[in-house]
Amino acid sequence: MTLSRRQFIFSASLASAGLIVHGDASTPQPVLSAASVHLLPAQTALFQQHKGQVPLISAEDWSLRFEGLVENPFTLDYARLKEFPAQESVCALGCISDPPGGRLLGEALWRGVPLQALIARAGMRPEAQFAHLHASDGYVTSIRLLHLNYALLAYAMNGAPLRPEHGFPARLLVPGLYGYKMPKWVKQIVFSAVPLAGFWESQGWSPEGVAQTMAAIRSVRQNAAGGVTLSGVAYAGARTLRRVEISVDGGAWMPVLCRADGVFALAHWQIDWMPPGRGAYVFKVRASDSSGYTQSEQAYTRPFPNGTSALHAAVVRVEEI
Amino acid sequence: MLSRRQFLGLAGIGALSFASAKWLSADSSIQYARTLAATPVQAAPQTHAPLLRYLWPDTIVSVLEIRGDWLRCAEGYIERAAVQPMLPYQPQPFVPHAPFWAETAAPVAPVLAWAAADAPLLTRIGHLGVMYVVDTLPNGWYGVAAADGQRIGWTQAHFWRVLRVKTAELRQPRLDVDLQEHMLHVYDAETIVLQAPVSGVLPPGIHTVRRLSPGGVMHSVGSATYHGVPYRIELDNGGAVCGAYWHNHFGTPLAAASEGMLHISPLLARWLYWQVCMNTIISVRPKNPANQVT
Repeated sequence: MTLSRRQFIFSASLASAGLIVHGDASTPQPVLSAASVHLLPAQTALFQQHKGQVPLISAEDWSLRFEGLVENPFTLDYARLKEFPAQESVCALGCISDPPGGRLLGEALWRGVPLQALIARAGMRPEAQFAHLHASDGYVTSIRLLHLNYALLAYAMNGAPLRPEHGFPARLLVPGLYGYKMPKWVKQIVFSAVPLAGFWESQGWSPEGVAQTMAAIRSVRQNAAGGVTLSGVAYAGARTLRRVEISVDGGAWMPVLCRADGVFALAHWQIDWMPPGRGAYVFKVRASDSSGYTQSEQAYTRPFPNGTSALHAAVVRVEEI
Repeated sequence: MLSRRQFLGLAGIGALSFASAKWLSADSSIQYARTLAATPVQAAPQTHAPLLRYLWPDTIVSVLEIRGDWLRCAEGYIERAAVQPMLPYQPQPFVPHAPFWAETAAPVAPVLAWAAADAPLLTRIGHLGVMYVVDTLPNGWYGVAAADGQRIGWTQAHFWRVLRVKTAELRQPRLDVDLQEHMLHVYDAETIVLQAPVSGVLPPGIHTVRRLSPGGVMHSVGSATYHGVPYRIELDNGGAVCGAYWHNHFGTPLAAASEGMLHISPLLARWLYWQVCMNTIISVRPKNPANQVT
């Protein structure tokens, strides 16, 4: 018997996200190709969260005060902020409460001033170990200073000024940490020798907020060859992503090619698969990082309190037509 | 007198390939194999040839040609040891009434904790593994058990094929194992009808078949456990010959095996199981002491 190319229709359940994808040969779904990595989501598409009303702060009314354990406390206004040498980078931003495969993770091209330049301006004292961050909506958090090496005081996103819901006039961007460590509408940074139990930390969430290594399946669609194309993302925070692998039905792990637009950006991956026949097949994806860590089945699945690095799975059902 | 190829063709295994340089392939037929892991496909039958791509584990490949330790497929060249030869696969019809023995028709059949695709995975039964189906569900799931009849999990029915009794072709079957050459010879009386590579060790000497068990056996090799080990031929000395679906290192000393177990290709085991009977003789010739390095 010759294995002719059968025709299949597929349906997929991306377990955690609850996304159901129905595809057939006549209605192919858009694919996240290598080229489309550059098509970062519009500001309106990137997820955002805030405690209460979105503060509406004009550029003229905004200021950011640097004080605490510093030699030269100072206040920065918007015009002065824009005079500092700026930097752009693609950086991921994710929510610590995101379950495996959740959608509270995205990336954008951020433009702003390296926070280290501003810290140098303030002249931080050696006894300072933490930065307490205060926002205009009353939100508070604190960050260990060692996490701020690549932090950015961002004022633009994807080539445009921040939208109010994303923190206009300025927000903090701290690569490698979860989003609750990157306050929007930041108005005050106080350097201290001790941490501060901020809004989420006082409710039991991690005081450190270090982003866990993760991988997720974002799309399952039928391809022109009659099989399935799976695509997704992977992220290792401030660590380097070493590899992404995918398995089907608990079998051996298959390496997947990835592409990222920057050290702190999401890695995007895509792979094709041809089913042997009809049935239901379970795909799992895992990432490994430069610390030697590899996601495993034993990872704690609940996001509280440190985020989760549990594996993400998708069920693909194949029917023969 | 039949030629070896004619005999094997009548026995239904003429188109099947065995894991050694003695693979037999019909001249014009395409044979199949499944990848045992993520398998590199190379541009030429050489270890250092350019890498073209990786094939998924459990991918079905069509074997176009055998070149020593390499197989030529439509995708390129892959190492023979990276695949398990398999029968052509088509999803199987649901059989509503248990119990019955079934073999894995698909490249692999996951066995899960309950009858849902996203249930916890318990084990994976490779191609031609054999389990005892003790329960069926109308939505197309089988409850499978080990040889003792205790259900261990659930599996999708279309991955399985009902085991059929096969007619014995040999009148006076006799087996001879050469541990030095890692080779099994099958005789019909004094006529050799087949030789195939093996892995594992049996105690040297003359033994007889004591029991035949089609499947449902669990086998541990190192830290790995395999269920549904198929076509087990148990010997009077406690040893056994069985199919091994988890590797393709037959004929080499590379494959780990438990002492007292002889592994053969499941394709061969599937045929051999129906040829032998109680008290069939199997002689095991030891490794030549003169060749051992001290």
